[in-house]
Amino acid sequence: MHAVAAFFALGVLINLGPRIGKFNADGSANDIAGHNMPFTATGLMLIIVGFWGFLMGCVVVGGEAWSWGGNFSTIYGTPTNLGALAFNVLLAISGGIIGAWIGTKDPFWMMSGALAGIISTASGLDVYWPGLAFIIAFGAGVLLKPAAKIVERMGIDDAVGAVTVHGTIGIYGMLALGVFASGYPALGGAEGVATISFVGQLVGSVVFVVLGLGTGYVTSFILKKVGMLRVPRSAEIAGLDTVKVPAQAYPEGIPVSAPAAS
Amino acid sequence: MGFPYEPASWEGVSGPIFMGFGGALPGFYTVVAIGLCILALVIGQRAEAAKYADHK
Repeated sequence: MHAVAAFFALGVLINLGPRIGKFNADGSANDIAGHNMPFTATGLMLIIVGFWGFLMGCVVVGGEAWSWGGNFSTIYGTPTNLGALAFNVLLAISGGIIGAWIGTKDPFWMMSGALAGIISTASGLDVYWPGLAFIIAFGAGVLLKPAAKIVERMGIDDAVGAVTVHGTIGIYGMLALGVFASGYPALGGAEGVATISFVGQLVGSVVFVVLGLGTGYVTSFILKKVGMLRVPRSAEIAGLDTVKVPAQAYPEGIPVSAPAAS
Repeated sequence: MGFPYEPASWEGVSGPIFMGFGGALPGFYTVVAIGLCILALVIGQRAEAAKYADHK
């Protein structure tokens, strides 16, 4: 799921092009810092907390018509419960943050590392031993910034690292499941359903990349051709708040943006 | 790392099961995870010391 969304975004970014000032004439990239690091970190923390609810939503009760049996299980039929899943999510967050901290010491990348930790283990949270979830997430945190730099060197302006966090790390997580959970049953172990394998995970990854990238590229290409993909250059230089928001973020007079005409 | 039951099915498993349950793998993974945490502490101490070196 993460990989499909991330590669859709990559397809859009290819057509959208970089922000003005992101790349220099020689192709080198400039770092355009976010406006407010505490707000950025807080927002990322809200996403992290939300992941508990999101992932717990994949647990279904037993004994109902739609259940896999009489016990709690995931939507794919793997026996689990909320406590087991929640603890693995916690270990994944921890591993991702520590891995990103070792590589960057940067709070933005550390919070993104927490997301990367969750995403890298999401495919096997129901079967991973918590220590293994920590190790896989740690690897994702370490990989995060180098992977983002590769995307940047390709001339893609991924402003918040979404392609890396959800795409590259999503693929890493899918392949990790193929390595560590090879032979485990898929869909409850129903008769005729293949078990988890590395090749299966690899093929699935390629399908997700093609599905996301293709649809994202085509959709944004059409929007670009009809002039609906990107704001005018002058509006981008003036700042979108100045152009369209009839209020100031800092009315005390800090010259960040002027209000738009209402 | 293979599935412990034959055939590969969750039928008959009534609660959460972590990979490697009953074997040595969980212990191995835990030791590696602890090692990574210690590594983080060592790197952290070195990074802190380097940052403060010019402020003595």
